[in-house]
Amino acid sequence: MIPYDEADPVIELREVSVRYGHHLAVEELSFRLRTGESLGLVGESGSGKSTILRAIAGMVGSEGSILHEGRALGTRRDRSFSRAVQMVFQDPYGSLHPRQTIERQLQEPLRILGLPDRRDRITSIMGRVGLPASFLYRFPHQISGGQRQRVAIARALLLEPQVLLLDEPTSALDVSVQAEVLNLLMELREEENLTYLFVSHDLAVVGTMCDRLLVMQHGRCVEELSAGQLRSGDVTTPYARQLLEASKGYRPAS
Amino acid sequence: MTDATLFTRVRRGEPHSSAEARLAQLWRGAEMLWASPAALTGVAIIAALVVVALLAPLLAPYGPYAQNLANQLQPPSAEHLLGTDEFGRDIFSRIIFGTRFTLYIVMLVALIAAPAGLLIGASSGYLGGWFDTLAMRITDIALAFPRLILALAFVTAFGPGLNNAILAIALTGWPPYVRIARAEALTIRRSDYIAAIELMGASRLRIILLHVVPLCLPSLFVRLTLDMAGVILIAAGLGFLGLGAQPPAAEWGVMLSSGKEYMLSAWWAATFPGLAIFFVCMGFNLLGDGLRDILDPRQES
Amino acid sequence: MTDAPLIDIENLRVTFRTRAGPHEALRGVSLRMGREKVGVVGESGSGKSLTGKALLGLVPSHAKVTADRLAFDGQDLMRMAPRALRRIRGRRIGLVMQDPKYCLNPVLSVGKQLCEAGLAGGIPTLAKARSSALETLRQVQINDPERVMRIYPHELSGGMAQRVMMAMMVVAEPDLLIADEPTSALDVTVQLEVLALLDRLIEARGMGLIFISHDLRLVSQFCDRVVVMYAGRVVETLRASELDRARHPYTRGLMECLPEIDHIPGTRLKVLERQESWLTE
Repeated sequence: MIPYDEADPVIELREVSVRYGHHLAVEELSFRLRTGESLGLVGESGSGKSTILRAIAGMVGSEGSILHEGRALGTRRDRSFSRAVQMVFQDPYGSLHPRQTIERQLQEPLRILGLPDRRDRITSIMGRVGLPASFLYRFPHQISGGQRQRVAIARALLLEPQVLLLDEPTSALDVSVQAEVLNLLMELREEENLTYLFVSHDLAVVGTMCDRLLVMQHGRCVEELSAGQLRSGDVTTPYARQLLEASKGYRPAS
Repeated sequence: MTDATLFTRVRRGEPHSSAEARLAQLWRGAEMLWASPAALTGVAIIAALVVVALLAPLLAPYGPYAQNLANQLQPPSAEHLLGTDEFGRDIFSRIIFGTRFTLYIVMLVALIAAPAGLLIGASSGYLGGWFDTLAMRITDIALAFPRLILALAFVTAFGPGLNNAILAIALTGWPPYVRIARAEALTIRRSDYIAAIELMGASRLRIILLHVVPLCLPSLFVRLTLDMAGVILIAAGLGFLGLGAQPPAAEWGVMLSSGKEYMLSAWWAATFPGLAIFFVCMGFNLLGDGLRDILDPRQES
Repeated sequence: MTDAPLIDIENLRVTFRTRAGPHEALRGVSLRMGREKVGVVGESGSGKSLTGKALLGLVPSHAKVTADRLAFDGQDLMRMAPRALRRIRGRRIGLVMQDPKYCLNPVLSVGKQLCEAGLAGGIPTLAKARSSALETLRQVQINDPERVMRIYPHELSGGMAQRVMMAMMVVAEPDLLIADEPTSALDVTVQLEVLALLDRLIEARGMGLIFISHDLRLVSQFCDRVVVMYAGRVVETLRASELDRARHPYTRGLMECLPEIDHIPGTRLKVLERQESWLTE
C-alpha cells in the first residue's frame, strides 16, 4: 500500500524488495518520507526494518526504485546524497573507528567532501550534541556508550544533512541515557528542521519520537498508524495489537 | 601550562590535543610493557642489537676482517674475549659487526614483504570479488611450497650473495601477511564505521589506505616480529650453506659455517655466533608476544 | 520454606585491581531471600550481574571477594571447598544467561546436553535423565520434545533456544535460579511467552529466583520484591507492588525516564539527574 499525500516526499520507496540469497528480507515495500516529518518503522527482528535503512543508504542492493527528491537513485550513492542523507547506527561500539581520536573521526567527513573551516565546525558540533571539547582527543574506548552515540550523531550532523536514518540509536543504551539521547534527537530535529526515519523495536520509543509509524512484519508493512492512533490504541491488525499489548509489559496469568 | 601538568594529563589519559592523545597511548603502551618482564627482555635485546649495530666500530676491540695468522683459533682470553677463528680474527668483534648484517637482513625483508602483503591482503579482504579470488589463489600456491626450499630455489636462480638471499627470503615471506591482512579486512569490512564512512562518499582507495590498513597493522606487526626470528634463521641457514652472505663477511651464519670445521678442537668458533643468533631470535619472539598484548586497544577496561 | 533463608548475603564486596588502582565494583551488598522472586535492577556497571556471579563463585580470579556472610541455604559459600562449591553450583543453583547462543554447546545435540545436565545434577541413570529431560522440555512448552532432543542448537530459534536453556537449568531441580537478563535478546512478543513459562516453572517447582535486569518496569511486574542497585550498592529494596512509593531519587528517576506509549511526540522525556551523594551515602 502507498500512503498517499500531497506533500513532496524527500525519499520515496516504490515496490522495493531486498533479497539475501533466497531469503526475501523486504518485499515490495512502498512508502514516502515527507520533508520535515519523523517516520517510525517498528517491528521485531527479521521484519526487515533495518534492511530498509541499509537499502536507502545504498549498503545493500535492492530491486524496485528508491527516489531522493524525485530522482531515482542508482546502485552507488553520490556526494549530493551523502550530504543530504546520513545515518546513525545501533551499536555505538561498532560505529566508531576504534583507533582514531574523536577529532580525527569528525574531521574525516569534512576531508572526504573537501569542506573548509574544520576546526570551529567540529568544536561547535561537539557543543551541539552536549559533549565537552576535551573529548575530541579521546579514543572511543575511553568514553561511555551514550557519549559514543553522541559522537556518532555529531559525525552525521557535520555534513548538515536534511535526513537522518536512525537505526535503533538507543537500544544499546541504559534507559536513563536513552532518555538523554532521545531528547537530544528531538531538540536537533526542531532546530535544524531535520527529517527522521527512525527504526526501533520499541513501540514506546517510536511513539515518543515519531508523528507517523509503519508496523513491519516479515518484510512487509502491515499497518500504518499516526501517533494519535497509537496513543489511543486504535489499531486494526492483530499483529499491531499484539505488539501494543506486549509493549505494556508482563502481566501474570493468574 | 607547565611540563608537570602536561605529564599528569598524559599519564591519566586526559589529553588536550591530538598530539597529547597519541602521547597518552604511547605512555599506556610503555606502562604495559613495563608490567611484562618477558616483553621488556625482548625490547632490551632488540634495543641492544640496534645500539651495538650503530656503535660497532666503537665497541669492537679489533676490526672484523683484521687477520693475525699467528693467533689462529685461540680460546677465549682477556685479549680475545670470545677467542679467535681460523684466520686469527677476533670473534667478539666479528659478532659485533655481524649485528649490522642481521639488522640489514631483517629490515629489508620486513620492508619488502610486509607492505606488499598488507596492501594485497587489505584490498583483497575489503574489495572481495574477482580480485580476492585471484589474490588468494596465488597466495595458496605460494604457501604450498616449503619456505626454506623455495628460498633455496630462488637463490640458486639469482646466484649466491647477501642481497639475493634477502630478496629470496622476502619473496617467500609475503603470503602469511596477505592472509592476516585479509582476515582482518574481512571483519572490518562488515563493521558499521566502514559503512558510515562509505555513506559519506569516501572512495575505495581512501577507505583501504586510511581505514582498513591501519586496523590491520597491529596483528601484522605482531606476526612480523614473530617472523623475524625465522628470517634470521633462514638467512643464517643460507649463509651456512654458502648461498647467502659470502666469506669473509662477518655474518653469523657464515661464521657458524666456517666455525663448524673446528667444532671439536675450537668450540668457541661456532658456539658464540650460534648463541648470538639464538638470543636475537628469542628477543624478537618475546617482543612479538609482548606487542600482541599491548597493541590491542580494546583490552583496556 | 526452611528455617535458614535460601540466600543470605551480608556486606559483599568485590574489588578489581586495575592500572589506576583498586576499583570496588561491589561496595557492601546485602540481600536475604527465601523461595521468592527477587528482581535486581540497575544500569550497566551497577554490579547487578556481578552479584549473581559472586553467588556462583564465577568472579574473575584477579578480583578480591569479601563478605561478612555469603550463605546458600545455611551453608557458608565463602569457606566451602571448591569441590563442594561446584556441587552446589551444578545441583542447587541454576543460571540462565542473556544470550542462549553462547551457553549451548554448538556441536552437541540438545538432548545430549540436557541429559548431561541432569546427570551432573544428580540424576542416577541415563534413562532417568532422558525421561526427565523430555518432561522438562514439555514443561517449557516445546511441542515435540522427541524431535528437539535430536537437533543441534543452531537449528533453534531465539525463543526456543532460551526455553531449552531454561529446561537445562531446571532439569536438575535446583532450589534457586539466577536469571541474568534472560529475555533481553528476545523480541517483545516472545519475551512475554518466555517470562510466563519461567513464572510457571518457578511456581511448580517452588524455586527461588533472582531476576537480574535493566528493565525496572518488567521486573516490578514479574517479581515479588525489587532490589535497586547503583554503582555497586543497593540503594533501595521494595515490594514490587509498592514501586510507586519508591523513595530513592534514583529509583524514581529510572521510572520516569522511560518513554510511554501515550507520550506526545516531541515532548521531552524526564532525565535522570545523577547526584554525587548516591556514590557515598
